[in-house]
Amino acid sequence: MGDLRRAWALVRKDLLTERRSKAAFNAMAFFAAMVLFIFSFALGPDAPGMSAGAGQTLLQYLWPGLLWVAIFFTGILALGRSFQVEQESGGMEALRLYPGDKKAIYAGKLAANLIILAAMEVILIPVSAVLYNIDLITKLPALLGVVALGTLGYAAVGTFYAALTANLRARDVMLPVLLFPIMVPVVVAAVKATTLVVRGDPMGELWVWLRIIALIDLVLLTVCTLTFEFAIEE
Amino acid sequence: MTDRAETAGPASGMPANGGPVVAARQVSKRYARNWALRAVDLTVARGELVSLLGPNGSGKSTLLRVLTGVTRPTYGEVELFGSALRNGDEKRKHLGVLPGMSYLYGELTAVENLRFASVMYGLTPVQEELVDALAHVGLAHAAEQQVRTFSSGMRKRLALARATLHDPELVLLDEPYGALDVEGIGWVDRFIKELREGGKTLVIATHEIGRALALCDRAVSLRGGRVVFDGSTSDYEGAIAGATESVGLEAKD
Amino acid sequence: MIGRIVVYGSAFVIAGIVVIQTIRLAKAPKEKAMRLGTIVGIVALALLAVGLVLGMFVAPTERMMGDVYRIMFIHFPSWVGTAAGYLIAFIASIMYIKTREQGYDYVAVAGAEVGVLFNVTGLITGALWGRPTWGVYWTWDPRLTTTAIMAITFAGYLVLRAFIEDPEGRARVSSLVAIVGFVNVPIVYFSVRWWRTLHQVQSSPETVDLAMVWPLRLMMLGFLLLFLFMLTRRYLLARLRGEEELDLVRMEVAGD
Repeated sequence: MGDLRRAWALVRKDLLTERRSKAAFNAMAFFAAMVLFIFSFALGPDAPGMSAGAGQTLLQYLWPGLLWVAIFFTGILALGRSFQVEQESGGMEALRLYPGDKKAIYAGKLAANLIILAAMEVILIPVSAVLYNIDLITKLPALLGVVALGTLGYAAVGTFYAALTANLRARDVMLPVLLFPIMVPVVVAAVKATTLVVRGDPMGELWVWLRIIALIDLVLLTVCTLTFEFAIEE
Repeated sequence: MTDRAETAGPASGMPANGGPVVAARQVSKRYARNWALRAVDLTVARGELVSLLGPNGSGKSTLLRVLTGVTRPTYGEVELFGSALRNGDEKRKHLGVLPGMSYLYGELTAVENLRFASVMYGLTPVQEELVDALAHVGLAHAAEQQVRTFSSGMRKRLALARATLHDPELVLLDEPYGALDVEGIGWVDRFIKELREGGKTLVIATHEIGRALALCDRAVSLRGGRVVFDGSTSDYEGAIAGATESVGLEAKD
Repeated sequence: MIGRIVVYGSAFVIAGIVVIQTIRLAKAPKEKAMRLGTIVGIVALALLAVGLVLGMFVAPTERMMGDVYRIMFIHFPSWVGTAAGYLIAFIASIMYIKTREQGYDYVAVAGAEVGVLFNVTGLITGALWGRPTWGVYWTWDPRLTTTAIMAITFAGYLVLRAFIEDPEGRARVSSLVAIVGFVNVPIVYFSVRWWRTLHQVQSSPETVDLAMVWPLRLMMLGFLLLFLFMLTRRYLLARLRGEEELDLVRMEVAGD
C-alpha cells in the first residue's frame, strides 16, 4: 500500500535527519541526566522511605513517579522537534502537496517519535535504576510492557499537538500546556502500573491497569488519527 | 519513476473529457486582516501556458497555494481536473509544484531528497533514474552532497527536479527564476521549454516578465489580490506598450 | 435503578436540546438572539433572586455543617453551566471542522469561555466550602480532579486562541483542541475513579436534606438560564467582532 510506504519513508527520513544532526537527542540526553541528578539531590539519596517499609530510600519509593516525570519532560523535547524539521525546511506545505492519505503522515511521525522516545527510555531506565539502587532485572519484561503502553499514549497525543502548534510563535509554551491535561490519565495509570511491577502485585491488579492504559491509548489514537488531516492544514 | 503518466480515465483520477485543468471561482483569501486574494476567477485549459504576473504582494504566491490545495480559500471554490481536492486524492499525482520556498531537507543529500519525494508521490525510486533527474538540472555532481551546503541556485534546480519527478500533467511554478545566476536561468529556461514541448499545462508566477511572455501564450496579471488582466500574451504586450507611451508623453510635459 | 435511568436520561435529553438550540444560535439573526438572551436573562434573574433568598434565609441551618453549607446553592449549580458550556464548545467545534462556517466558532468560544467562568466558580466555592466542613481545601477525588482538568484544558483553549491572529486558523486549531480536550474528560474521570477505589478516600457527602431541595432546584434552573444568557451575549460579541472585519472587506471585494 502506497500509504504504508509513505509512512515508512517519513520514519526513515526523520531518523536519518536526527542521526545526522543529533539535535533532539543531545538536548534530551542532557535534560534527562539533569532531571535524574536533580531528583537525587532534592530528595536526598539516602533519606529513608515512608510507609513501604523494608528500609527503602525515598528515591526508591518514588522511582515509578520520578521515571515518568523524566520521560514526560524529556519527551517533550522530541515531540516539539518532530514537526520543527518540516518548519525549518519551509513549512509543512510539501507534505500537503503529496498524494495519499494524510493519516500516513501521522503514522510516520508517530512511529519516528516512538523510536526516539524508546531510545531515550532504553538509557533512562537502567541509568536511573543504577543511580537509585533499584533491582529491575527480574521485572524487566513487565516494566517494558508498561513503559511501551504509556509511551504510546504520550506520543499519540504529543505528535498530534506538535503538528497543531508547529507554526505558532508560542509553540514551546503551548505544546506542554495543551498536552498536560490530556496526559493525566496516562500518567496516573502508567505510574500505578509501574509501581505494581516494581513493588509487587499481591492482588494481581497489574493486568487491569494494563488494559486501562491500552484502552486510553486506543481512544486517543482514534481521535487523533481521525482529525489529523485537519491538524496539518495551513 | 517507473510509473509514467497513465492515459486519462477514472482510475488515474484525471477527467477523460476536455474540461479545464484548473478552475478557480470567486476565490478570496485572507490572512488576519490582510486580504491577499479578492474574488479571483481563473480557468486554465489543458496544454495552456499561463504566466502569472504582478508586483510583490499582489497575491501570485497565494493564488498558487490555493490552486494546489495547500491552503483553503476563505471564500470561493477551486477545482483541479474537474473536481475539488479531498484528503488522500490521487489527482495530486498529476500535479507538480515548485513552491515559493524550497522545502528541501538540509540534512539529507540531493539524491535522498529526491528519493523521499519519489516515494511520497507513490513511485518506486530507482537510483539511476534519480541521478538522471539530477543530471537533467545539472546537479549530478552534487548527488551525494547534503542540501544544506547548496547555494540557493542549486536548491532551486533541485526543487525543479523534484517538482517533475512524477511526470505530472499540470505544473505550477512559483518564481522559478528567483535567485539564479545566468547559468541557472539557462537551465530553468531549457527545463520549461521541455515541459512545454511535452504538452504539459503550465502556470508560471514570476517577476521576469520578458521571459514569461516569451514562453507562454497567455498572461494573467494580479494587483492587490485582483485579476487586472487576463488575455493573450500579445494583447498584454500591446497593453504595456500603450501604457508606457502615455506615461512617456506625460513625463515630457 | 429506574430512577437513575430516568435522571440520566432526562439530563441527556435536556442537554441535547440545549446543544441543538445553541447550534441553531449560530445561524439565527442577531436581533433574535439578542431578544432571546434578554428574556432568558430576566427569567434567570428572577429565579436566582428567589432561590438565593430561600437558600440564604429560609432553608434551615444544617445539623453538622452549620451555615457554611449554604455555599452549595452556588457550588452545585455552577456545574450545570460548566458541563453545558464545554459540551456546546465540543459540538460547535465539530460542526466548524465539518462546515467551516465561522458562526460555529463563535458559539464554541462562547461556550468555552462561559464554561470556564462557571468552572472556576465551582472550584473556588468548593474550596471555600470544603475547608471549614471537611478540613481540606482540595482532594484528588475523581470529580474534583476532573473538574480541575477541565478548567485547565479549556483555559488552555482560550490562551491558545489569544496567540493566533488569523480567524480561520484560530478557529480550526482551537476546534481541534476542544474536541480532543472534551473527549479526554470522561477518560480522566474514569481513570481517576479506578485509581482511587483502591485507596481509602473520604467521599464528599451526597445526601441533601429535603427542605433544601427546592432552593437548590431553583438555583440550578436559574444558573442554567443564566448560562444561556451569558452564552448568547458572548456569542453575539464574538460575532460582532468577527463580522466587523468581514463587512469592511466584503465592501472592498464587491466594490469597484
